[in-house]
Amino acid sequence: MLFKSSSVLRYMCLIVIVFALFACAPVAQPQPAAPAAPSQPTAAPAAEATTAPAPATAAPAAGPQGTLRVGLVTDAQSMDPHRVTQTAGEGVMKAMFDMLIERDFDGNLVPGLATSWTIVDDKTIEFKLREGVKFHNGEDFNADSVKFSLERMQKEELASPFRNNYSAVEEVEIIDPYTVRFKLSKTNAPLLDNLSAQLAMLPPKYTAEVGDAEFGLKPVGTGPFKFVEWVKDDHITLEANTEYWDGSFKGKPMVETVIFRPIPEASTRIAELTTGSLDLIQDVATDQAETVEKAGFKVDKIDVPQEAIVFFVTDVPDTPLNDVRVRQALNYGVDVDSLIQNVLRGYGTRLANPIGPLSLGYDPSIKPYPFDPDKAKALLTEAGYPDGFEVTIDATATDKTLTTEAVAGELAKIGVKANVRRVEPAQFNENWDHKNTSPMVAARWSGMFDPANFANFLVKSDGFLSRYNNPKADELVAKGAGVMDSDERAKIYGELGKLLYDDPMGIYLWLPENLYGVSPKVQGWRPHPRSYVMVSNTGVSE
Amino acid sequence: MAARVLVFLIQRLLLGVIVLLGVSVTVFALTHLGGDPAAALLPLNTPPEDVELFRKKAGLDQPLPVQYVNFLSHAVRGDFGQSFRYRQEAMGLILERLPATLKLAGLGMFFALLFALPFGIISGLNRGTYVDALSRVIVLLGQSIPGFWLAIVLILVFAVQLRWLPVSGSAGWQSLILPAIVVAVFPAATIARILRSSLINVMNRDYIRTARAKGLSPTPVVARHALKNAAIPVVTVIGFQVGVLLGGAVIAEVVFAYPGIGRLMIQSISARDVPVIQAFVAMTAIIVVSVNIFLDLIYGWLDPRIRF
Repeated sequence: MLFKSSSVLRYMCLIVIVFALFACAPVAQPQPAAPAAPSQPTAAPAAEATTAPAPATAAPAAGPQGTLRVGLVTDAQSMDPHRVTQTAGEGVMKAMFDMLIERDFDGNLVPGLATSWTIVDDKTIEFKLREGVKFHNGEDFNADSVKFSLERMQKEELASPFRNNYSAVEEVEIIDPYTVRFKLSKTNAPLLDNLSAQLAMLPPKYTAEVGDAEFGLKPVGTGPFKFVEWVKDDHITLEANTEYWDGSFKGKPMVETVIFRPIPEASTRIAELTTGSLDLIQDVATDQAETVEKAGFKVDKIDVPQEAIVFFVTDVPDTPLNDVRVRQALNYGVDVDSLIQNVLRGYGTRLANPIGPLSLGYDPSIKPYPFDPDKAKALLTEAGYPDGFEVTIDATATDKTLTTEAVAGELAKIGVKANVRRVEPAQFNENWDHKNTSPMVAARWSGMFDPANFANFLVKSDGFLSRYNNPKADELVAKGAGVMDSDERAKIYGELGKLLYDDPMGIYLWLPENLYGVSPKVQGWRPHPRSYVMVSNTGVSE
Repeated sequence: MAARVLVFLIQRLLLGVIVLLGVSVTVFALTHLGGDPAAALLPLNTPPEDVELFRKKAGLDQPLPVQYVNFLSHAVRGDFGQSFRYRQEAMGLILERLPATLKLAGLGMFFALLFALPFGIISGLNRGTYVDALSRVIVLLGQSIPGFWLAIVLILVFAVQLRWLPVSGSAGWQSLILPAIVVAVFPAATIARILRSSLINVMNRDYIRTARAKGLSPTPVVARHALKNAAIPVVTVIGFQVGVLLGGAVIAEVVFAYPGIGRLMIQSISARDVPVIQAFVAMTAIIVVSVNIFLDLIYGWLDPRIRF
């Protein structure tokens, strides 16, 4: 009686639907890497001036006013910035905490609590710290905070998911209260990017006093908003820090109170927005964007560095994918532009190679493979597969933005019969770890500001997720990891991009766009390429 | 009498323990069949050494039977280990959110009975009439509407169009109404159906005819004689519906962004947060088993022929 088939079915439908809501999480979410922009390793105060936010037009002289209500996809797992891994929670962390270096709205690295940084040599970085900054509890921010925060991140007991990103830092040397040097055991190019993503500055005295667990419930930072309350899965309330320091790319708090509400179901978030109970919502599905606009709300969009690629397994001898002509043919054979129009409803940017539009080393002169089925068939014939072949593509069971079936449909037109095998996310990751996948794997790789991690894991022939083998690529990857200078690295990754274009490691699809629903009452808000919802410099009019 | 009730209770409790053991084996097996928890939990770029370290720390490197025994010996003490995701006690996370879900399920059961009793009784007493037919159609609809769809329709009608109730959340009693309706619909329909057929059955019995023959008016016949006797299968079904309610709460809590254990469960499944999944299943099983033991005791009051 308890196992009526109808209730079992209900459960199954539910689980499928709900999994789809979490679709963006499990696929491939490495933490991003290294500097994308400052052409000089030292960010001069000049850079600071240009990135300082323009005063928002709505700014009343009286200071922060009103309440901004934000709908997030999920709750934060913790209020401890060294532990939070999802973009929903990371936005909340960005409101309460500052990093030494920040990634601004255009994807550039800009000064945060460090006013400048210098690459002294390939194993030493020096940071000049901002003076006069106070934590919400009154503690001063200085070199001790930096040393404390970094060492906390490295601590084994904390078991931070980002611990690995900081293993190269051997020592934090305090030169004077506002100058610190990071001594590295080896060159670690993605370090600057990691600093901008996770290394929030914590107050040493307070953190030591309350302990790590308690800090995760009652956080104290230097950010534009102070912590007020967290009711798990229901809401997070922050209040304006009226003493927030000048010159942050985030701008000043414009509202008195911010309320974040985690709402997993997409249509519920939209209903909350259109009924006026929320002012700003995260993650509007592409097929619901029109509904939001018709209701009189704005849909803001931004490209995010999350590259959708159908990866090839090329290291198995005597398979079709082992032949570079076949790999090129498959790229010629998929009409990616039409997929972007029809499947993503235009909310996507075409990718020519993995060094895409937001990556360090992006080369706009490399144009994506044109859709040319005749050329594809000719290449297949040349490679000895005039009638095509049969192949399986692995995809996660939950990814809604990567419509692998549509890609398979395109391949069928050039005679390649692709069967899509949907795999549970955990199994999918495990298979990849153990090199146990089907010959093709559809996935999104996020954090492509800096290609270092991607290159290391997926391009280099001995990378632990890699099924690609090209000695020239190996050379370039090693070269890229061995220097800190961004200009030089950009050049190296540019070359790597060209190589990956000529000898494709997958079918290159697109960068998806993140969509946000914004009430007309909201002023000054901008989407961030890292998918955080940034709430400072954002006003709400009555 | 009291002693016999006690013996019965002990028997029931022992049976309950066996059920819980069965549940524990099943959930343990299921959480380990769907892939390595370490692979789901750690980002894809985690180096293999770190994955091993994690597996070791979480005890995932032990043989499955050893893991199960470890799990069980801690579980009986209420210790399901730390949530991988939240780094807090798994049972603590459940207990934190349990009151919210109980409120929702309680109101849901209230709504279910509010609907089921009149529909079941009217239908049962007017068998074969158009009132019965109409009521049966409504009940059939109630049993076949998918909760997920119903939830979204309710939001669109009552929150977006009419603006009578909030869309989602847990601020105030108003926000409980729509989710409670969603969890109530299926149990309501089931209970109404059982009540109808049970009542039809009872109304044909000799003692009802006798009651009528001795001149009782219809109301006391139904209220005093028929309903009490028709209630036994209904009580059994209500017991089953507690599980259905908690399952329905999973849907309602996600759609209505309501902070209960169902939503925690869904997050934990997708993150493969094994300790929380296990604590959730254990808690749900304990609730369902206890409710059913309680209902078993009620049978004796409903039908004095039932002896413990």
